[in-house]
Amino acid sequence: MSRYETPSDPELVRRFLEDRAQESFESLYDRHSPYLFRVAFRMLHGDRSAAEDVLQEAWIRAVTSLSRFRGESTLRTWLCGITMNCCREVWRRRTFVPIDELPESPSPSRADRLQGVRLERALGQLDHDSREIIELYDVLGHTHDEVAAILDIAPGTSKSRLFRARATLRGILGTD
Amino acid sequence: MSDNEGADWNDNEARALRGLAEGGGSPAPEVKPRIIGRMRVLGLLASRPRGLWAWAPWAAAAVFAVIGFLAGRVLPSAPSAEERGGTKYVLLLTGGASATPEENAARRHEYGAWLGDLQERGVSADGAELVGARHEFPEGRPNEPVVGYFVVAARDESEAVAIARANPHLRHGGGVVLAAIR
Repeated sequence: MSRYETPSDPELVRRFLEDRAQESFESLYDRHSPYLFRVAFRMLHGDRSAAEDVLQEAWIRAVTSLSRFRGESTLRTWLCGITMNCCREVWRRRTFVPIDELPESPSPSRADRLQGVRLERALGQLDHDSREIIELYDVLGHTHDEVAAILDIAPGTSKSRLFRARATLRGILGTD
Repeated sequence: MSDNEGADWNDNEARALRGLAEGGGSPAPEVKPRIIGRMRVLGLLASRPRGLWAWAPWAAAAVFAVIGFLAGRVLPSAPSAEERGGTKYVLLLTGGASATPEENAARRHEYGAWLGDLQERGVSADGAELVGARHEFPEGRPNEPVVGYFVVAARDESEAVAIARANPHLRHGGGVVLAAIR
């Protein structure tokens, strides 16, 4: 029997910085890309193509500055911060139309699906700051400390922004 | 605005919001080579080693893997299902398309990455490839061979089902049997 190996992130980073080999990069890519793609996909309103472009840009920036990663947060949180910055740049260049259909998800019931569409529409009406915090905390499940590291804000700011964003979202859902 | 408008969501609302994260899936397979190609152009990746030296890292990795195995090294244990307030589930990987040794190595790597992804998300998970002769009982009954397994701690059955559906073995023509461990 051979265990499926799961080297730690610091180990994968060390390997990559040591050899800069494609295989070492692929280990990092395979581990984190599904999540980073999910972040970009959510932030870019379900636009797969734009999310894939952001994923590319985020990896290029991450690899360029990987030697400066100090491990003050987890690698995933650090990568997520880079991805968020790339998403913000896309936001500045274009306007997104809120999506009317819920992206593919594992066999949701009709009620869940309708609820999902309603939420997506409401999220699409939020300003960027509110959307960021709701997506990171309520949808993707980050803690306030992680959100603070990703957005480069204080944890207290994350909490107050979340409070305001939830109130705005509730208001939108209430008038839906 | 009333004082509690920005307060926590109720359970249904919180679940609905979390459910949104399940959409979108993964980046298309062609994205990885595209990114790697771009990184090569930018000089962010080393040139590929050639000839005999190309095998050196793999040989070294194999030697360390064997030493690690002989030394009885195991993965650090993650929190138990009970600690997460959930249940342990076993995912039995069955069958799967035949593959060359190189493809199998890539698959092992992919499954390990999937496992690492689960652990990163705080899911207690472990798994291994099953090797050697299979003995199935009763003998002669046609079954798809079990080729690997994962044990994961999930909050509830729906989370376990979502985890099982995302298992990379399904992309390689294999099956996954999911069951709770009593």
